[in-house]
Amino acid sequence: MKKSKDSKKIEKSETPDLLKSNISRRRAISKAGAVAIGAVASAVVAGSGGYLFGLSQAGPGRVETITKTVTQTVTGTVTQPPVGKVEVTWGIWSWGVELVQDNAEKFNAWNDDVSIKVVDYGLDTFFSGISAAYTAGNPPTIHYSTPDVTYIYQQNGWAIDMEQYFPEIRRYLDDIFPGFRSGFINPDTGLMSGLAYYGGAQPFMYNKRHLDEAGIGQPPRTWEELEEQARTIKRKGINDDPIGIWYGSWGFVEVGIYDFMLGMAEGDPGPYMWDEDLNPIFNDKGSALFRSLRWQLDMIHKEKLASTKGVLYDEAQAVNAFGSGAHTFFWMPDYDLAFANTPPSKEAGNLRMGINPGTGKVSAIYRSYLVSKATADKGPRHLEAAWRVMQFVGGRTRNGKPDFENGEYFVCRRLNNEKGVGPIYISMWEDPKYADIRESIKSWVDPEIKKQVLFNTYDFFNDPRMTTWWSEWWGYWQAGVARPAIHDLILGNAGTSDDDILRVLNRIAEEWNKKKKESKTGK
Amino acid sequence: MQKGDLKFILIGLLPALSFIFPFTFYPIAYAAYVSSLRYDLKYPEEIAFAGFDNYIEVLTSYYMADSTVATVTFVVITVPLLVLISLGLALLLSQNFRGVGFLQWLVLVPWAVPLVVSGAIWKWIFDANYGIFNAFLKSLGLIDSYVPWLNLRWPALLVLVVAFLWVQLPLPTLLFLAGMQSIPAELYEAATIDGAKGWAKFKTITLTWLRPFMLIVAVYSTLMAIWTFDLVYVITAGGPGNFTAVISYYTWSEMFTFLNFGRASALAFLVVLVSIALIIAYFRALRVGRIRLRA
Repeated sequence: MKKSKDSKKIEKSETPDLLKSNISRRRAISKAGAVAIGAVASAVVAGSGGYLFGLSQAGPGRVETITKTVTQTVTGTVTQPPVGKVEVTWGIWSWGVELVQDNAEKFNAWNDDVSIKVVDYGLDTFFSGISAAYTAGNPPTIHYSTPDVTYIYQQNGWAIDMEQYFPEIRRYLDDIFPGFRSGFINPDTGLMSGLAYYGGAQPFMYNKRHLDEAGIGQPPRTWEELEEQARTIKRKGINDDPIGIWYGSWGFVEVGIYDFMLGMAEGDPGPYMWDEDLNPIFNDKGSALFRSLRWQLDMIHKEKLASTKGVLYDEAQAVNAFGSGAHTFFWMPDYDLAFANTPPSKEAGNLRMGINPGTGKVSAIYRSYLVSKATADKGPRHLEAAWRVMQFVGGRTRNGKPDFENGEYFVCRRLNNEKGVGPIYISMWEDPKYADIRESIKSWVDPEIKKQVLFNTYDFFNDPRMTTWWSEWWGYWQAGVARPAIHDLILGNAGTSDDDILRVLNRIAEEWNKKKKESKTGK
Repeated sequence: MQKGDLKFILIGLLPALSFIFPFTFYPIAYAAYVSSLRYDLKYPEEIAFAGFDNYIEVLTSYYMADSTVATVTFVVITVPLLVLISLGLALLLSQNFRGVGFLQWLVLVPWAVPLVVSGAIWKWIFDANYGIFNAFLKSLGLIDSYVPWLNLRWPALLVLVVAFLWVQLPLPTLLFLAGMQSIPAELYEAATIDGAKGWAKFKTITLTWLRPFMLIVAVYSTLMAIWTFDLVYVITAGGPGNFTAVISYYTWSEMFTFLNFGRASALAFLVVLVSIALIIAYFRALRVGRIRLRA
């Protein structure tokens, strides 16, 4: 199956039944009421008949029974007993749990008919936990999702496209930075799946103190300039390991591979790994991956301007390394700069976000909200409740109620102001009513640079030539063949010549082709 | 055995079995069942009987050869070291000297530390930017700049070995100590009268007496070494490259990264079979037969 963004969209004439039932819900309730009243009337008639019949046939006991039945039925139907609250389970991973709980409490206080229950699926176990919940038929109503697995949820029919039921969600798309938009569209249906939890990038960063001490006025704009500046910094004894590359944990893919490919891939064939038929093209001397690996190996083993320490970094260590001045140039998630560049970090105030050398492009990082199919199966009330919660956590509301025109991104604002996790919505960076967004991050990043970076991000997850959406992809690439093989290359264990690089890439390509044949979804 | 005895035995076993069956036997049986299924959580609609396919797939997988070498290397290094060091420690702690009580308490400390925390401690000790080990070597002038030890194959493995020994030493030491304290003093007295010296007494009395304990420690150490996961996950994550990616690491990967429960169960079962074979081999090598800890 070849996935493309121009997949057939569902036509308006194909409006789903559920949506139709949403529109005519009041009418349906009226009809139900009429039917109920009719039933009551019938019961009264039947009861009266029975009473009269019973009066002639039996004693007072029967009279009592009939009276009770009629009274109960009339009371129940006419007053419409209050419908219970709809519970929306919100599946999260273990990060900022207090803030999540607080947001849920606020929503619950503002809404009488819907209540949020937060379910924490852990951090490392989030994907397996959610998958297990789906398999067991007990998924949360709404949950976080990462772009590498969103397609799995969609492909299995576990998660729904919210646009199918609520076409108005499309209004949010134009407010999302262009580089992220594809991440919110189901590639098979062309419909929006959900709203954003947060969005950012893995931008280029530098230590301004190091540059100042070296007499360098401006951060590098090209890779040659970066190399030259690193050489100067090292020569002057300011930093022995100026270029820091995060290869460990998930930094391997998003920083070590894609940030460099995106930054260096000027001209043909672009930063691509596969051709349109999903055949590997990265195992070629002209490929972006080859060129970026060549440059990195030169920096580590020939020029000695970088080290292999980054292979060991997890995210916390990456933050600590850059925050302690271990490197002058670094790439990591933008929100991590909030920790590295504020006290008690050693280099607090000295660190800057910059534009990636070369093309300026960097890899996008974003998280979205998905709603489970099980919710749609429960009926319109549950679906509407999920939509309301989705708008509260990822859209515009006022006092916890959806309000696209006049509402505010309440939860997104709190995430930015209290946790440094940036919003993906353009209006939050431009509308004066969100001035606090820019103000709150000024202590650790220049908001204007951050906005420029967001306009320069590239959603490599949703470009099939950069990341095929096979279900096997993530595990395969992250923990399977590619990471250990490229780590060995970076460490010098597999040699450092062009032929060595090609040999390693050929082996990965070979495994890739094998995996492609086995894949149920990659054909 | 009389009929009544069997009834009594069964009733006596009931409390223990009521836990062991649901929490040990049933999961094992279920894992055996899952290992015969194509059970990929990413495709839950396609679960089907697969016979021995999962076993064949893991045996021919790209990681099997390397992870087997990594596991065997780790076991071969750690098990003899663990047996020897714990025996030595037990010997030391069985002596009467001032402070022995404190030492006995000290030996137990690693036991109280969760495995993941132990891993994190050792990872920090050997950290490439601020590790105390690097600071120590640099203060002695042995290195010019900090070394990323965990990026170097054998040093990384050595760190894992040290962390493993630190974590696992308490139980074997206690077992040996208990064994030594159960040796009747009369044996040593008789040997002394017969003119036996220190080494002869140790070899003929202590080691002979401790043979059943040694079997337990050897089996325990081997199983712990084969199944070591937490330390590998925290300290090296299988690296550098896949040099320390032992089989348990890939069992975890198959299960929680690839979500392939069928292959993960098959891999786990293969390791169980190897473990059983090793235990039988230990029994034969040490010629202990049925273990009787009482004299």
